[in-house]
Amino acid sequence: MSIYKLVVLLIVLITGYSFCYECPPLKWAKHADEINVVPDVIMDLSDTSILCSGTENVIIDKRDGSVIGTKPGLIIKDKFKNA
Amino acid sequence: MTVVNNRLEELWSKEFDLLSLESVIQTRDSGYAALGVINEYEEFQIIIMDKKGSILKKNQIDGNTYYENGVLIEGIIEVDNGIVVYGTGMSVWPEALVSKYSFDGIEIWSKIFGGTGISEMIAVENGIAFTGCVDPEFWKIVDTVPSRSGLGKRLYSPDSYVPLIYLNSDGSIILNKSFDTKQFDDCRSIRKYGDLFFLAYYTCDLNAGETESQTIVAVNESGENVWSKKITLNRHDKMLIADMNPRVQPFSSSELLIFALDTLYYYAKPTGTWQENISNPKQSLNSILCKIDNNDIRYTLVEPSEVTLSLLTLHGKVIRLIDKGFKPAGGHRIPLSGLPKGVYLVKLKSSEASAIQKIIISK
Repeated sequence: MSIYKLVVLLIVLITGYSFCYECPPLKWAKHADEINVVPDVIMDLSDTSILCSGTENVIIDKRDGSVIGTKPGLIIKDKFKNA
Repeated sequence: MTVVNNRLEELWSKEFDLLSLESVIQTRDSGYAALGVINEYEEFQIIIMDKKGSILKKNQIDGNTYYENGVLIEGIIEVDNGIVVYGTGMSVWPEALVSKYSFDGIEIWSKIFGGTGISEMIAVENGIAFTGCVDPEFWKIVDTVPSRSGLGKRLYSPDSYVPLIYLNSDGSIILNKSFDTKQFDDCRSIRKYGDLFFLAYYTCDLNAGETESQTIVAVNESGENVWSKKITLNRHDKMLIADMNPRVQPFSSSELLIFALDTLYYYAKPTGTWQENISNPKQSLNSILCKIDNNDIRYTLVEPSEVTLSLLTLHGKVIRLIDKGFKPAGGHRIPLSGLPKGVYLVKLKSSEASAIQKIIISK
């Protein structure tokens, strides 16, 4: 392998390594007023939904941050498990 | 204690004769372990249950073993065939107490970390990790006066406020790192995904008047800070509903959810790699809210951003700059007319995202 190819390979590897550690881009942001909850617990419910549990349980659409629904009455108090 | 499933349907509910139930975890055998408080700071109980809530074992912990004034036990975690109990010793200076017990209630090891409380502890692949708040006011005391157990000692530099401690399940220290943030910070949340730790901490910058901010830091297992995001709230500009507890929750290597101050942020990388984007363009485009049809390219910006839209050959060489400039948030449409016929790649790059889409121009 020539030095040129080795340098190119190193650059590709370093670039790839850096990419792994980039913060993902922001897809959406929702003010607490819009989702009606300040979440104590955040859980991944499915590929398309998130549960935010605070003063009430709010299910949020991952794709656009819109509120799908609420589940009042069952408030999850405990700390959520690590992914 | 009530257990619900992912659809929030109640599975079972149980009452305990305790002052309070401080923490509950689901164990690897699908059972539960709960930490109950009998007398605050003094007597605690570890309760082991099966998956239906039947009590299998109760173990007593005496907080006075460690400190004259007891311990404020804050949580439990299952680690490698045992349970780690953590809390803060009731001394005149903050000390974090971490003890591992077997399921039979036998203490396996205990460690005390001087100068910090524990805000949160998590179980990781081969041990535990925690963060908290280091108070520089107590550094000199911790440095010169040993704790009752004799284990307390200075662990961090006096200017550092946010600790990250990563312990093996046998109690040995894998990583002992603190972040020199130069101002009063209280780290409230820690998570790990893959080889990255995520810390979310609150900052009250006294030099900047009323400004509050929260920062999310991604740290690798070597303790290197690989990226960070600072979110600031100005009390004069907004109605204050700010919460002092920032949370960070990674869902995968490309998905991250942050609640900071008063807003929920969802960060997600376009799914798939470069090659997958070419073979499955629809998936890539959906993930950055961009769409191409026969007549135009349409994209939506979550927030105002500098945008570059380029036409590339299939080998990745830029042949035309279609659009460039600072664009407001919302939908944008660029007509395809005037572009050369052929098969190309379109690359859309904003300050927060980029994606590549294969495109056939036939008109």
